[in-house]
Amino acid sequence: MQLKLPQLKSCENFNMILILASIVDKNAQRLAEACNSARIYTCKDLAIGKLALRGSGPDHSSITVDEQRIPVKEIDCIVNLLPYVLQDELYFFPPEERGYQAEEFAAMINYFISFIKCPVVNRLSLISLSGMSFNAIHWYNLASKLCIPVYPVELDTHYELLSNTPKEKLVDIIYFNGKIISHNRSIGNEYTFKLATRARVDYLKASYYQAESDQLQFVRARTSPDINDNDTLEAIVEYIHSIDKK
Amino acid sequence: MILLWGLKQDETMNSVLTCLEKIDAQSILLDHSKIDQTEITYCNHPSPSYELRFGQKKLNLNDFKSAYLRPYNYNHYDHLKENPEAIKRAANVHHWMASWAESSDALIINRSSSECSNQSKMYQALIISAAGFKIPDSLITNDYPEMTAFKKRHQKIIYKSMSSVRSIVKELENLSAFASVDVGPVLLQEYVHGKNIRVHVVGKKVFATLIESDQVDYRYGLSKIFPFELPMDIADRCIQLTERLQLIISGIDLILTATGEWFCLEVNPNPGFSFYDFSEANEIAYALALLLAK
Repeated sequence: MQLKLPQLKSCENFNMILILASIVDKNAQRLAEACNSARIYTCKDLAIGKLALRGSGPDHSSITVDEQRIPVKEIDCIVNLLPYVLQDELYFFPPEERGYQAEEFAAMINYFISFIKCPVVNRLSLISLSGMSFNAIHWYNLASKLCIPVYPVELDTHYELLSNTPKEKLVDIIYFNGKIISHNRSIGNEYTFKLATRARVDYLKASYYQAESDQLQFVRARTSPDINDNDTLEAIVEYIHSIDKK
Repeated sequence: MILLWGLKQDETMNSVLTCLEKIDAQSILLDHSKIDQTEITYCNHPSPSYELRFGQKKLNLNDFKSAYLRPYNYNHYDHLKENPEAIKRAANVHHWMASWAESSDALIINRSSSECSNQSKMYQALIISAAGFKIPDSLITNDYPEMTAFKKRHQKIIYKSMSSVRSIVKELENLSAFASVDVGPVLLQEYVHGKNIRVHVVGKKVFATLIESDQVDYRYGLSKIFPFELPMDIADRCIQLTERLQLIISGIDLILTATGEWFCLEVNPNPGFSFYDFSEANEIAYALALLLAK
């Protein structure tokens, strides 16, 4: 089915919308098409395009996008779709350098999206770009602390999963920018809202198992926006549009 | 019971263990070098629980009231290098331990999420600056004209990693190597002339030392260490900075310039403080032990 994208009505007030994405992220293009002044910016662009990020702040900093040097202060919004920097992103470095460079690029991107003053979707938090600091167990523990029922799981460092998580009867509920944007199951909405606000994330896709008793049990969470999901795409485009109106 | 997780041969870890023994605090040291013999089972119901198995020992992580975590990079252990399965299990142990530490009500020194700021030095610099310290003029760039202009402005500049990996500071005397090849972005900083002061904050206690060295990075050369009395306001600022970073212990690198300005270069969230603690009473380790045993 062809998705009807909500095009931005007026973009003349925008200088630049930047979508930070992986080189293999095909869905980033969908977002770029929906926001007609958006540019996709990858680790390759960061490495090859000339840039100067100053410790004094964004005012005299600049990056290169599509071969054009632009002042960082002209960026109106950043959508961060890069959950972490994998070594494969940095294929243009010698193989023995990629591990080190992946750490360096993550550090640089963390700084870039922290010092910039424009709105950032998926801004740096404890979980973005720090890779493993919020793994599946963190989410189970957070859900338990918030009195959210969890799907029973046992994990072992040697054998990993001792019990399988379900693949059927899963309900996905998505939070973005302060509200639930998908589904209308009130209790799941409440759970997802609680998880997202406590974890201080802009976006959260929480999956629940629908047990026989009709009870929802938390299974997993994802914090990098899933642009393939139409509700998410529309919500991000609408959010950018709301910046334009301000 | 207090959990210590680190290397048996690490002087910093050992000094804490010795102090805990002196004050009769019950503790157990989990030797990190034997991570391949460490197993954890996690169960999320009815409430999160962690069973830690190490040799013949079986422990429930939720029973620990405090922990001092000083894990090492398991990729550097010779006995694991050729064993991808063991590396994978070691990674799991790290993640399981981090998740326990993150959600535990125990006193954790320090949680891995609090140590994250050190993974991006310039991100950390934003927090340092907000705490009231001056930070050296810095530039991340891959643009040769920008580099030369920066060098011209400051005369003496250094480069260092942006992340916590290969964190060695070196003076950059000659930029010509950057002129002809495309390089990835690098972090350059003005060299700040002055006295090197290393401050350790443990809770609300502050320990300062003066380091004399002819090296740009004093950790990699001969140096002399002396006790140093920190002005009260700077000591308070160090405590505030540590709290802002959500750390309980920190190692703060300061420079006191000839004009009396205080620069902060960076904060180490898991410092090897034994190198600086030459007091007979091991006062930094003792302060840490008291906190753990409280």
